[in-house]
Amino acid sequence: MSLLLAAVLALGIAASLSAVLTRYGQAARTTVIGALTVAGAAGGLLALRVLWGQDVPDLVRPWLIPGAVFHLGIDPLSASFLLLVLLVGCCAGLYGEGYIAASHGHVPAAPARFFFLVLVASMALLVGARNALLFMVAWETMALAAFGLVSCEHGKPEVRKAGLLYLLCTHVGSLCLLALFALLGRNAGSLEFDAFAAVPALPAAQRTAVFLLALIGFGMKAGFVPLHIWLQEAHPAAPSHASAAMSGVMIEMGLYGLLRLLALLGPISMKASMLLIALGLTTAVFGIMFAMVQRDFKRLLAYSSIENIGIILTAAGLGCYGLASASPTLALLGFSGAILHTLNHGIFKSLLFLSAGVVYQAVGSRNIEACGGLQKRMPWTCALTAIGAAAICGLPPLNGFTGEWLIYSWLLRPDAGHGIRFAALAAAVLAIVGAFAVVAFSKCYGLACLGQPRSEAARGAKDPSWLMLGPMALLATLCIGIGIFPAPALHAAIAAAGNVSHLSRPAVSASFEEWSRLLGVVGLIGAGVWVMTALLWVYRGLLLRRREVGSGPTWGCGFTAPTARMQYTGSSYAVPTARVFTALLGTREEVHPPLGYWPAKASFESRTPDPALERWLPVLTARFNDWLSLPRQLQRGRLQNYLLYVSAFLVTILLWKL
Amino acid sequence: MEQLSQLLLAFIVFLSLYLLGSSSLTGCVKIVALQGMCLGLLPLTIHEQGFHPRALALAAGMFLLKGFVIPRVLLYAIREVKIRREVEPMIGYTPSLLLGAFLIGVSFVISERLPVPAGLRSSLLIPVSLATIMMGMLMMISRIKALTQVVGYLVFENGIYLFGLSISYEIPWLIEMGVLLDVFVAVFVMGIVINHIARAFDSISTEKLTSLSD
Repeated sequence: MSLLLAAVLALGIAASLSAVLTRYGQAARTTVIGALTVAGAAGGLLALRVLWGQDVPDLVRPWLIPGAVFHLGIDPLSASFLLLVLLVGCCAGLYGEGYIAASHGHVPAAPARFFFLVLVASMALLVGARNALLFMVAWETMALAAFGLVSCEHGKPEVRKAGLLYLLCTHVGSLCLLALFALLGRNAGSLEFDAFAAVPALPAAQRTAVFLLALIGFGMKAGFVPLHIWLQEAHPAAPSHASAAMSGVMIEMGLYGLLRLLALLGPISMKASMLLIALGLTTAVFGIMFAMVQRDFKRLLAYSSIENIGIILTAAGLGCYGLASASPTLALLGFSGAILHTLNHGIFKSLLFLSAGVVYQAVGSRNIEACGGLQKRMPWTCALTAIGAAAICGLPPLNGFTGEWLIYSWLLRPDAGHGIRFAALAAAVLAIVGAFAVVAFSKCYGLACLGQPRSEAARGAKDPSWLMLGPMALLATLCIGIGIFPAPALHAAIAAAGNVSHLSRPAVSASFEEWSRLLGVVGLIGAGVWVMTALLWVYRGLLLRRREVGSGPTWGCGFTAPTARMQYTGSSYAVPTARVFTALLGTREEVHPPLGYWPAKASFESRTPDPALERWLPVLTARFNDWLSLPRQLQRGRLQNYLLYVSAFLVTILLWKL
Repeated sequence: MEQLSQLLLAFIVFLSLYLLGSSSLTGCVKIVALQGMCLGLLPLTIHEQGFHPRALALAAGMFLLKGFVIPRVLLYAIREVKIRREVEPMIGYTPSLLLGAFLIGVSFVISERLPVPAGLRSSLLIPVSLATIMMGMLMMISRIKALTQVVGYLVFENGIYLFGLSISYEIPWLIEMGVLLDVFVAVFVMGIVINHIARAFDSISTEKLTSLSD
């Protein structure tokens, strides 16, 4: 356990050091890299030991705050998330050093380093926290560090707006969590997690309150529709390595919170699990549909995070269904699907955000339509991006498939029946989500990396330094590795899921044997695909040996003077799919078609604003503003008035108490 | 001795009332200085067992600080910003006086319910301290110039000091030193604030600060 404490301390100390060493860039960089290495090694070792069956005693220290105990503990559930935090944290942190150096002062180095390290440290602390107050302290630190990262480049007005929106959302979530823990604490008489688990179940009304509070509190962070409103604004605003950590890990802390509560409080009702599944499916469909029509590639990735969170929530809901129907195998399958997909999502989403950062730095814009033809100019980046994009679509030889395979096998199990007709429906929805993901990412990859460059900057793009490519390569290797050899990741996920579904170790390992055999076959087929590809590549090389290979211009459709602007655009690629869902998407188009025989001007513009943020929220806030206009009159900005309020309050208290 | 302490306390209340009705800034500062001197003398007379030798040092310190140093600083500030009169109070002088009288009454009502520590020569100490606190507060609330606010704050602090005096025999140093330090810091901070308001807004009226609200 001291290993976890060491990791957190190393990160915390390095954070303050890096803030002090602003003037000495090289020293700060060494500090950050050193701390990440130390923390990654220490925490990673601990997590692996726990996942492979070792028991680690808890660390309990008295704490100054009343009611709080500094209680750290680690079980497989914590360990699997800790592993993810440190893996993504280290990769993104190392990349971040290269990113800061390559930005030539555009990314303010001191806050980016400080808040990033604080973010990783607080998340590592969060997964180990066994006391509600310690948990809240870590949770708030994480939220504030992320706010610091989001508003890093606060010179831009849209960044400030995104930062404020995020801060508001995260505080709404935190308030719900405070209420939640207050409720649980009052019932248990203590704020220790163990005490929550030890007391008998709450009365029904309070259980509903706990469920809803947890759903809003953790859902705000995870981004369940319609609580996702901050996500697509905040992720593009943050520096890329920070978005990688936020999207890859931080939002998944919301799911960790839900799973931890499930592990503590036991099963929820059948209706509640159905609600979770429905919410998850809605979130997934919503996320991927809006991802499909985005032009800003970081915004596209943010929407895709919403989609993946939806898939994970669906899986968690399936697990809850298993618990509620007293079928431990189903519960285990659902939860391990959720956790495995969480791990995988952390890996490929951070990989994609890191490549988005590379492209952003090379092209100077987040608009996909400013890119093009990058494959020839930055081959490494594009190859790694292709792996990430294929993985996120859940295509078989890569890791994205393994998690979804578990979910599908839950839905398609014969014994999942019990009259659960919607399993087929859910499977169909998930399949549609997968198909849309292919559209979204083939659009993103195709427009950015293939074709002709659409801007001068894209013409001169180059691969970045190895400090940036290295971490990306590691993540891509993991994508391939888990795809071919899923057993270790599956083991971690199942061990963690065993925690949530309250299964004994032998039962867990029996299920592991069964599924790892099946998934092993999938992995073998995947390996076969890779070997086949390699063989074909070698064969191609052999065939082309001693032959001249020429390359000519692309067929220009008969135009005499083709330009780069005649290529597919993002909108035109997505339009056949998006048109079908116009009513849902609410795309606004402004079309000025060419008119007459000699058209002088024509233009086309389409925009798909987020409905929750721009249509639903204003309705709510308008009502609120009306209510709040009365108390607002109290705020006049005059010192004298405030003094009057203070003294009136004090005198009232005095008279009342005497 | 008993008569002396009663007299001093009555004088302190009277000075606070006078402050509420006075419009001249220099006059206000001089009255606060006088009040400070009275406060300096009080610890020597207030307790039945006489006074600690320590209280002598405290009295001397108070006398010097509140009677001379702080008024000097304030007079300097008045000279710097070239302001003589508070011409636009939010509550006029006569209503302020009436309110002050009302507050004295309220403080007597409150202090009847408060337990009085044993060993005090004057039963007036607690009500007077409460009245002084409230009148200082009233001054801060009803005046607009930053300088009169400082004066109000000083009166307020004097009230707190008086309150602390009631237990000064048992716990001598701690409270008084804290209060002195508070006042000292406050005057310097306010001095800086006044200069900055004058420079940034061309006036020392706190009304101008409303432009900072949303």
